[in-house]
This record gives sequence, C-alpha cells and structure tokens, in this order.
Amino acid sequence: MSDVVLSVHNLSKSFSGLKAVNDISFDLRKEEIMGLIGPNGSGKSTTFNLISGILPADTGSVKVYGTEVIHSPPHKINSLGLSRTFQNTRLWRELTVLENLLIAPKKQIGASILNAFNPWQYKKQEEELIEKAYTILKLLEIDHMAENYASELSGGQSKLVDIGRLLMSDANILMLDEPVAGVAGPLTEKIFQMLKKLRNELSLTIVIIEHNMDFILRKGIDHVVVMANGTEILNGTPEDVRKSQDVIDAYLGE
Amino acid sequence: MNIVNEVKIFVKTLVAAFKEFFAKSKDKIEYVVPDHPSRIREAVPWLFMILFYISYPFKLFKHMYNGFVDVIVSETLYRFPKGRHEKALQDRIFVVGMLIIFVLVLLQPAAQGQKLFTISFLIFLICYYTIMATGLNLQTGTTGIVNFGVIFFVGIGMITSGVLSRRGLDIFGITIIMDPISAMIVGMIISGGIGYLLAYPGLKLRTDYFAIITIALGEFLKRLLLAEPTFQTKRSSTFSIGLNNIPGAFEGVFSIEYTFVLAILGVLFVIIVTFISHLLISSPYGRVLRGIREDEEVVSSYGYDIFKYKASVLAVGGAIFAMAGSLWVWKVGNVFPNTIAVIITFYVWAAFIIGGKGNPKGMILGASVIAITQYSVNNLSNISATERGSTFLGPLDVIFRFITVDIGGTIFGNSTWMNSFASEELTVIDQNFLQLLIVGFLIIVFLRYMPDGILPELPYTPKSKSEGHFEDQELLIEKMKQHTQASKDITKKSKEEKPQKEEEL
Repeated sequence: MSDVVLSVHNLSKSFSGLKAVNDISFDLRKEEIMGLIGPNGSGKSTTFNLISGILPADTGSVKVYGTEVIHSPPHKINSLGLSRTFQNTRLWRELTVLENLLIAPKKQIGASILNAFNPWQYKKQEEELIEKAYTILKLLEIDHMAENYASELSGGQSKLVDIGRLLMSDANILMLDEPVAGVAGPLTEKIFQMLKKLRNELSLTIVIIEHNMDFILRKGIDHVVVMANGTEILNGTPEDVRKSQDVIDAYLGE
Repeated sequence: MNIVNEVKIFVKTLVAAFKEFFAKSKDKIEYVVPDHPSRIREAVPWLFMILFYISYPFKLFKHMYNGFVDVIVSETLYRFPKGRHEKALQDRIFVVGMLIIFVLVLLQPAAQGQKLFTISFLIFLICYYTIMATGLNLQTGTTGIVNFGVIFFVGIGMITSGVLSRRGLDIFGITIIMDPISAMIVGMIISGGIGYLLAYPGLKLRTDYFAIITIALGEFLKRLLLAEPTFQTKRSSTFSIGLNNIPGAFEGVFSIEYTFVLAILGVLFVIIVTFISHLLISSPYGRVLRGIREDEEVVSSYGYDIFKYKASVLAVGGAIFAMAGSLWVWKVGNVFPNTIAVIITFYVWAAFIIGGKGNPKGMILGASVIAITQYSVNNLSNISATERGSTFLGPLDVIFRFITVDIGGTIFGNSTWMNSFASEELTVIDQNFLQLLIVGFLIIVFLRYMPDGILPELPYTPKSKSEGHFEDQELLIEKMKQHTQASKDITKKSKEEKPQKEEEL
C-alpha cells in the first residue's frame, strides 16, 4: 500500500438536505491515470472541491501521501503536491497568459513581501520560470498569445492555458476537471499523449473528469470511477465500464 | 413763420428727447454692467490662444515640427486616448502630464508676497493626495480589497502624531513625547498593525461588506476623538476637543517659508512611496496580489496563503496612509473631529479612478487633477485681481471666474433659477459645491470614456531571453524534471516519516 498517493474514504457532503457526494471511496496509486465520470450533477466536481479543500467536507477522510488533509485549507493541500483545475476555467482574467502561468510555480523567492524589495534576488529564478512557461506554451500551441490578456482568449484556448498553469505548478498529483471540453479534436489527442508522456517521465498521478467517453474509455486510463447521484456505482477498468449495465442506465435513464 | 418756429421747436424737443433717451439708456447700460466689465472680453483671447496651442501641433503642423518638446507633446496628445496601454507612450504621457501640472501650479494667482506659499501649498496638497492614492492603489487597485476607510488610517496617523509629539502619552506616570519624525514612524507602525488585524474579518467577509466596515471605522475614529481625553489637548484643568498646536517636522529649522519645507518633504515621501509600490507591484509578490484580485480561490488552490498576502498589503497600505496623515498634521497643526471627514476618502478614490488603477505613476497624475481642482476653486474665488495689486487677470483666473461667477453663479446662486437669469447681480457659487461638482463630473467622464484611467495598469510581462528555446518535448521534460525535484523531495520525506509514525504508535 505504500505507493498509494491519494486515498479517499467515505467522503460525504450534503447541501441543505441534498446529498451531493455520498460515501465516496477510492485509492489512487502512484503513476496512475484515473477517470472520474458520471452524468451531470452526479457530484464529480464537488468531489474535486472536497479533495482540494475548496469546500469543507461533512465526513470522511482524504489522505495525500499519508497525510490527513480533510480540514486543511487549499494552500496546505497544494503544498503536499496536489494541484487542480476548475470546471469553468477560472483564469486570472486581467492578467496576461504569461503571468497566469508564472503565478502557478511553488517556492518562488520573490513571492514573499520582503524579497519583493530585492529584484536581484529573484531575477535568476524568474528567468528560468519564464523560459519554462514559454516552452509549455509552445507545446500547447498558444505561445503567440503569451502577452495577451487572459480575457481575450477563446474558450478552448483558456482550457489550454489552464492545463499549462497546472503543468507549471510542479505538482505530483494533477486533478483535471474537464480538461479538453471545447478543445479541437487533434489537439485533444496530443494533450492526452503529452499527459501520458509526462506521467511516465515525471512519475505524475492524474485524475481526469471528462464527459467525452472516447477520451476516458481508452487504453491509457488505468481505472475509472463512475458516479451517479452522488454515489459511486462502479470502480474498475475502462473495459468494466463498457460492459456495465448500471453505467448505461445511469447515463441513459431507466 | 409760425410754422417754421413750430417746426424748429418740434425738432429741438425731438433732439432733446433723443438725447434724453440715449442718456437714460446709457445710464441704464452702466447700471446693468457688473463690476468686472472686461472679464469675458479678456477671457476670450486666452481661451482661443489655449485652444490654438493645444490643437495646432497635432492637427496642422504635426509632421513639420521636429523640435524635441513639440514632437513629444504633439505625438503624445495625438495618440493619447488609444495608445495609453503601451509602455513607451505611458512614459511620455507621464512627462507631458507633469509638464501640464507644472504649468498649472505656476499659473496659480497669489496675493502679493504669497506666491511661494501658494505654489508650495499646492505641491504639498498634490503630495498629500498622491501618498493616499498610492496606498489605496496597493490595497484596492492591486489586491482588490475595497477600502472606503482611507480616512480611518489617515486619522490614526494624524492622532498618533498629535498625541506623541504635542500632548504626550501618559503611561505609568511617565509622559512620552517624541519629535515629529519619530511620532510619524510610530503612527505608521500602529496603523500598519491595525491594517494587519483587519485582514481577519477581511478574509471572511465579501468585498462589499468589508467596505462597509471600513466606512464605519472612519466614523468610529471621529467619535473617539470627540470623547476620549487621551486624544485631547491637555490644559490646566479642562480638556478641549481635538488636538492643536502640533509641531511640524523641521519647523523653524530653516529660515524659509515652512510650507516650502513641507512641499520638499512631501515630494521626498512621494518618491519613496511610489518607488516602494512600484517594486511591490512589479515583483512576483505583486503578481500574486493581482491574482488575488481576479480570483482568490484559485490562487489559494495553487498554494498561496491568502491571509498572509491580504494582511501584508493592508499593513503596508495602512502605514502609507498614516504617513499622509502625519504630513497633513505638520501643515495645519491641529486635528479636530471634522478633520476626519469621509469626503477625503472619496477625493482619494476619485484620484485613484482618474489616475488609473494598478499604476503607481497614474496615482501622481490623478492626485494632481484632484488637488489642483480643489485648490484652484478656493484660491481663484478668494483672491481678486485687486488684492494681488494688479488689474490684470491671469488666464486661470479668467476661466475660473467665468465658470464660478457667470455660469456657476447663474445656475447655483442662492436665488431660484427663475430669478437668477433676470437678476442683475450674480452671486458666486459656494466653493465646496463647485469642488464636488467638478470632481463628480470628472468621475463620470472617466468612468464613461476611460474606465481604466489616464494611465491604465501595465501587464508585467518580462520576455524570455530564449523565447521558445525548446522545440521538442524531450528537452521540455528534462527541464521539468529539474523543477519537480523540489516537490519530489516532499514526497520522499512524507514516505520516510510515515513508517516512523506507525512504529511510534
């Protein structure tokens, strides 16, 4: 069990009577890619919010690298190496694309108020980060937009910047909430291949929420959790999901 | 002959009647003309001259003038509204703006022998507003904490300065009295500390509720000044409301007009404060602050402690406000409950909106617009031409009198609007109302046509020396491996720690 990086047990959250997330449990091993699917309103994004600390959970436990984080604020959870994106691409709109990417990295020297008075101290690190940011932007094919404001981007481009921001953050566990919604087909494939490659090379662990079934039910995904009405109805491989009658019922109704 | 005589008499009476009529109408004209007959006649050529000078460089002879100043001024004015977002043009706009401000300051009319005082006081006023606007720019423009309590922090600076440098603070039977500079520094520390503490409610409350709290704090300080004996000048047996006779820094050290010393001090403070705010805004720290302004939840999910950032910026802003408060106290020498007026907060907000949120240089321009408006209205209506020992009216004088007496007096005079056009005596408008009118008008114009101010916020986007150096993924991954080394160490540590804990259990 030592290679379990993220373990969720009996996680529950209700919004004034409505059980949004009900008793969710799953383990995530190192270097796994997990898909989290389910119909609209089944509690996928709420689960993400609970794990990353944006919403306080009612009951349950979330362990990141064996550390209990259920009552921790988001920035503490992030410092353990877990980063996430948001469903409705929340970029910092009045900042440029490059600045969006440059906020994400951890352990920036110039991010403390005292060091901000000494530009020479953070100059070198800043140059390295800018180089890295441009490289990521080039990979995502949006380097020509680097100096535009984030509010000037299209929906698909925003998604790409969101992924770029996540890659900048040096996290070991990436949680992507609908990463390729609105992104053109060929680039979708490219992004998935890139995530896979990064997973192999940097030993990342990735959780993906996605409505696009072709994106999730493929060879690269190690296991899939299917949610419906806040409960977990299946935890298995993509093959299991294809065969399961429960999943088909959940998606198509009775 | 009778007929001839009669005709003669008729003509004579007719001429007499005409004479009388013209004489009467002449009297009437003299009666109608107000005290300043040459006012409008003098204003017209000045107006035309100013219009001509403004228009000709960038409309008619734009390409013909090669002179240094001409090119800069005409280019800047020509490209002003649209090119404000470029960094190169922003510097030029700033230079041209400062030139215009310089001219307007020098043009201020003054009573005989009061020219140095007038100019110094106007510069002092500009500095006072600039310092406050810079503090507001850090808190509201950069971090997005809506602060309507500027006067609260400024008031803390005023009161601390007054108590520590004049009245003395009694603790354990010892009276602490400091020199004005030390008192200012203590005031800045206290105000910064209170700003830091304000982050606790600020973290939980939504922006608008926090703004309401800050307004209430200003009123609270005003009431406190009315009631608390510690904040009242000590007399032999009784206490009077407010603090007075507060000494200023370097007062009496130089044999020159004290306001002039204060103007130089103010300029020094402005340079320091603007430099600090520039350093903060352009650093990675400032980038995080701007991220908090846009979406603080996402910033916190990227590993930044929002509280730390909000608290630190409230502290820095509070200290800057307190500095402005001390500067004001050095000039006027007293603090009364009415000094802590909410209206100052809104003047600072107007300067902040006009200058351009998020831009330290814009604060200087915005504050100058507000300070010059405020001061000119008072100055020009108070000092008449004869008081200055000359019948010649200056250009600003003519324009402002035209606005205040002829237009403003007609519309805002103390008679009803029906009387005001018919009446022969025009009343001068109340200066305070005119200040508010002009500032309000400016805010509306700027919010409608230039919502991001004269100098909008510049994106801090440093360019990479080797832009897109890595063409293929392999090199990128190598690069990323180096960067993730740090976060991998955390993983190893937590793995090592975990078995130890189990053993202990």
